[in-house]
Amino acid sequence: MTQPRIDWFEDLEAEFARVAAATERAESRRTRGRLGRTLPVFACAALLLGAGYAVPSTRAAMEDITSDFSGWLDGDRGAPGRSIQPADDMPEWIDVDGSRLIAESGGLGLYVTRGPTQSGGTRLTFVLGKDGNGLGNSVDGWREKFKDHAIVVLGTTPHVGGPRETLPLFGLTARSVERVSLRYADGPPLVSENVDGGFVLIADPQRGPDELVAYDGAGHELERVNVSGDRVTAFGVQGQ
Amino acid sequence: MPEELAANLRLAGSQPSAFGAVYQDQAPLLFAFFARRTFDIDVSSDLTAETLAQAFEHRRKFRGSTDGEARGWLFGIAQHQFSRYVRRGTVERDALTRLGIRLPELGADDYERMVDLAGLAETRERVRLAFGTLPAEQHAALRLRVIDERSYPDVAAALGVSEQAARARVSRALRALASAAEIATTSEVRP
Repeated sequence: MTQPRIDWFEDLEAEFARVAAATERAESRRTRGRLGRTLPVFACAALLLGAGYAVPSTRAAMEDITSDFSGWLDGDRGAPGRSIQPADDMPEWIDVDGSRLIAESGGLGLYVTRGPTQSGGTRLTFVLGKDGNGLGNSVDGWREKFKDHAIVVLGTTPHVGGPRETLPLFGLTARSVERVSLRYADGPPLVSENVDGGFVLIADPQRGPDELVAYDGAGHELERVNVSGDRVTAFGVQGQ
Repeated sequence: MPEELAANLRLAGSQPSAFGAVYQDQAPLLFAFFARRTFDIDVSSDLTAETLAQAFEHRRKFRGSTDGEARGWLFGIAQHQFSRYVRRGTVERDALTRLGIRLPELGADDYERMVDLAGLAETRERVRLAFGTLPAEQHAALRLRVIDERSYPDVAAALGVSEQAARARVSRALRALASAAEIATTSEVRP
């Protein structure tokens, strides 16, 4: 169907084209600049490797979050959560076969699906609720994102059909994490016990969400994430 | 070409100009998505522009391979923007500001065409018809409260009922109209 010409859409498209062209030029300049600095960077890296690097003791106890999913990728062994059921309230485009529900709260689920990458590897897509984002990446890409983290906030999504004033928080945890606590600026924390690889916390934005803290089974703090202000976005937490 | 939207969105990660195809394909749908929720052309155009700006900024984070995933990703951003608008009552222009995108002015011709694009005229007609078929007591309560902008105590006094009963009649009438409007807004623009 041919749509009537609407100047506003065309003018805005021209603005996006202008910004895209400027971004392309800037990225091209940065790439050329990086090539010029390659040799000095390699030299610095060699010095650092020669000097050694001490891993912080808390991080030594952490397990890579990606390892949570390695058994599943190898053949459905020991994966977090459970298999998706047709009755689950998930986006229509998720395949029931081979996908999992990692965590759920207040009617919102955190799902993971797997599929092939263009290069023949495996792609994991984490889906935040029925109407939220699907965050996809290769396993290696996720490994880089999760490296040295016990807890990673994937983002938030509108709670469609739920109470209007909520801030759903979706995230993943390492196997060593058994409890996640959301500390507020005002009042008692919101705690999720016995977490199994991930969490969905329905936060109250009116009480000032402040920090997410991950604990192991012995009650030791493993990591904390600043979720105050407007840091939480649909794509994660600024600064993490 | 199958999965063209997903391919262009992924390509935009390394070639920003490829975002133009994503814009052409999705901007009218995003606008309709917002217009059918806000019934406000100005607000909907601002939300559309900010959603596309957010998508442009975060384009490298999309690594899906199907158009369904691409639409889910884009409309996830749109839902988030709409939720923030509902919560705060204002449209934020954070990404537009960061990118330095100037919002075009809405002309009178554009305004009418955008109403048509979103199917708002059809929705208004459905609401008008539904208004005419409301039970008399609900029809009168809604007219007094919404069209005449009377307070609930005034509505109650005019109808000779308690304030609680007046509120209930208005509430039931609004639900009926919302239901009528929803008939025109289902699935067509959902990802």
